[in-house]
Amino acid sequence: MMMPTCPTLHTERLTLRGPEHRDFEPLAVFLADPVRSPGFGGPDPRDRAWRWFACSIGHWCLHGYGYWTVDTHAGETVGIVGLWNPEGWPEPELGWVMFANGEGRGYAYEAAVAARHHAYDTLGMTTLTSNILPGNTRSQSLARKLGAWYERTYDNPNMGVDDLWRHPGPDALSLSNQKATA
Amino acid sequence: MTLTPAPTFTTDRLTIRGPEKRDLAAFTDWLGTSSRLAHVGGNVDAAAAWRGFIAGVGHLHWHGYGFFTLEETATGTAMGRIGILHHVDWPEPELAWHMFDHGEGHGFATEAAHVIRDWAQGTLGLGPLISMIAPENTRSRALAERLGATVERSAEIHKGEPVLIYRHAAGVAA
Repeated sequence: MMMPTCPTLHTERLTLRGPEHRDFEPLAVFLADPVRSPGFGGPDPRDRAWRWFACSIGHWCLHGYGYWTVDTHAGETVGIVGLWNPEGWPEPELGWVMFANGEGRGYAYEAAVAARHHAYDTLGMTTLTSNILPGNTRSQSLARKLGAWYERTYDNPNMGVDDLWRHPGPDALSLSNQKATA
Repeated sequence: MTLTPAPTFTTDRLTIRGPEKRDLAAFTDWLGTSSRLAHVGGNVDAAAAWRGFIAGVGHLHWHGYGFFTLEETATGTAMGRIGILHHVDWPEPELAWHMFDHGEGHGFATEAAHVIRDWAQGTLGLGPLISMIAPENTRSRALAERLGATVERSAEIHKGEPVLIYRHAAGVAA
């Protein structure tokens, strides 16, 4: 059947593309994993994973942005990275999930940079946040690597007590790019 | 641009169309405040309603069918939703309906159900559909029976909630 049309983003090693039917199985495996999924609201059984995936498709339709599936250029799906703003969220967020086969290779960083660039350059967003559960040190490290900083702790409708991290805005990022290339 | 690939059907009184953003307020209000939701999961807040709404949009993209908004043509008022559900944990595609409080008692669900049933049989090529209804949901059971459906068996959904599985008559191929 027809999935919504989503922009495809390309990075040096990765392709970020819209959701397809075949993306459900790896997502369900991830969401069922009691060790890897709590930072993303899991673990969730298969029926809840399917509803989340249906939400993810619908999110693209309502907002025109959402979670991309992240593939290597060889076509291996390594995770999902995207822009997420459901009802009850404080602001649009940049989110990332790497599946077990995608960990430890800098893919999440590479994909998140591309998604953030799309948010600022194409969608015209002026700021972004990331919601990171307290104690999720791996995600905190990635947020820091992206230049984000801890802003406040709040009560998220889906996650409970959650930390809001703030990303540098488009102006700050282009300034740091200029410095880097100067 | 519509939110979904859903076709539009019309009956004497109704326009049966894909969900659109403008339906969200009535849907959220119904889920948040209706006293008639005991058999379908109870009241939920705006955040959960929003997720239910976009999951419905996603369902339509995934399957090419799902929940339609049932709009009274003369007034443009959304009266409820009706359609075919096939979540990953569902035994088969289900003919399902959720009437908002102000949409009950006018025969709207019956009027729309025939259309959806015939579309399922004809265009979609789906066999006689089921409806899963809580045993004590007498209003919904009465509608299923008016449509000619009969109880086939008992089952459990979600976390073990009991339902009766009704089997509908074969529709007219639309």
